[in-house]
Amino acid sequence: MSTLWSTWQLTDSILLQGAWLTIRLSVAALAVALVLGILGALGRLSPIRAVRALAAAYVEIFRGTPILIQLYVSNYVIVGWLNDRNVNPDSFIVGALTLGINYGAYMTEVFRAGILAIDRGQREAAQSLGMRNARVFRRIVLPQAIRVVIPPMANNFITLIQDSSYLSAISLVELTNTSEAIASGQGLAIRWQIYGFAGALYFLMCYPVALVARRTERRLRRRIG
Amino acid sequence: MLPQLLGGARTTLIFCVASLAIALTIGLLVACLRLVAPRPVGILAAAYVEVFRNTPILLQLYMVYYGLSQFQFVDATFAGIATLSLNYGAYEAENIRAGLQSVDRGQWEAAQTLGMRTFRTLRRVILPQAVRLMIPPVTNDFIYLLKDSAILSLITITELTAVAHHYADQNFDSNPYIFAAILYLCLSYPASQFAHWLERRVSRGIAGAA
Repeated sequence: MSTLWSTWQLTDSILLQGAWLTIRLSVAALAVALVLGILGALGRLSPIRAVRALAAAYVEIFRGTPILIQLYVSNYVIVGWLNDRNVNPDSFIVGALTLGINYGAYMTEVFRAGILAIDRGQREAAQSLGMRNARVFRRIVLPQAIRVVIPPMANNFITLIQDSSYLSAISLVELTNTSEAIASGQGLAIRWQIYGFAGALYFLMCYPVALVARRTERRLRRRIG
Repeated sequence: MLPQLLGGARTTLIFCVASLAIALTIGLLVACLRLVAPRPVGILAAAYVEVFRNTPILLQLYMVYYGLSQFQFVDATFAGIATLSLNYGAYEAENIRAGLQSVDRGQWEAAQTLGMRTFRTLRRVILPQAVRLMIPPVTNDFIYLLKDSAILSLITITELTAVAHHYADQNFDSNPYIFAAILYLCLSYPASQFAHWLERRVSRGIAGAA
């Protein structure tokens, strides 16, 4: 037990710094994903065929290819192209944007399902009151849809937090990268303790979100039932 | 370059199929334990699911590959298949449990009335009905697995992402990534269409039954 404590003392500040970067990256990526998700859902439900096709292509491409490939493209190809033009984006921004664009595709499907779940009568009632389309969406459809989408959104947020570990591949020093860096020089026992700490920190970040998802799900089901 | 990429895609597919098969076996075992085993075993099974679903697969991969590296049999192939199987085993356990639980309670009671034991009821009555409901989520997980298997490139396995990264890095060329992305889409798109089709069929089946 004393060794566990001494290992933690050896590493705690660095691991916690890594965890903090993981949290910041995840929240930034989630913000990007939510905006893109709403836009994407509107695109997929648009009356204009070309817009629908564009939104569908966005979803299929980003859901159909590994994040790692997307990261390599953004970090080497696109950033390389920008560097040639003397633009040097921060790797935090590159990582959070790529992760956010990737999850925007998942959020598009989540929001689309949420919007479709709202009774058509709600929209028609608002329209008959003389509301414009944009106002109907913002005031009537979106507030109701958000309640429905909270559970799948939370589930996606959990996988997003975990997938932020991929950003270690473009040398962002988040939690997985930190633990791997500290663990690599150590003997077996200490290495496992460090991995264990990292796992526990991820669990502490993800599990509360899972509980929120489960609780909202139960409450929604009760209301419907 | 294209033949090598295709070879990488083949490796990706082999790893995914093998891992899914093992994951389904683990998942079935864990799901059944959670439903019928005595409480301590059930809690252990639940802990397995929560731990593997709430920590990143990349960290799990490093734990197996570097954490067990002093054992002779732990090479990259073993670590890769073990990690993917254990991680997806947790997800499949939940899919299978949801499937099993959605079978009407009356089916259990009817089988018991006929004198069937728990295990026999599961195998003969509940599972055959539940499998139909499990196929769509499992197909979806296979698509996730295809993409998650890209992490194997980080432990020296030359699957699709690794091959693409190698050629891109060597020639300062972005085309390998594009080709690799297209190959991933070729693998995952048919699977996703298949899942959609199954979902429609299954929901129609339920509507028809009711």
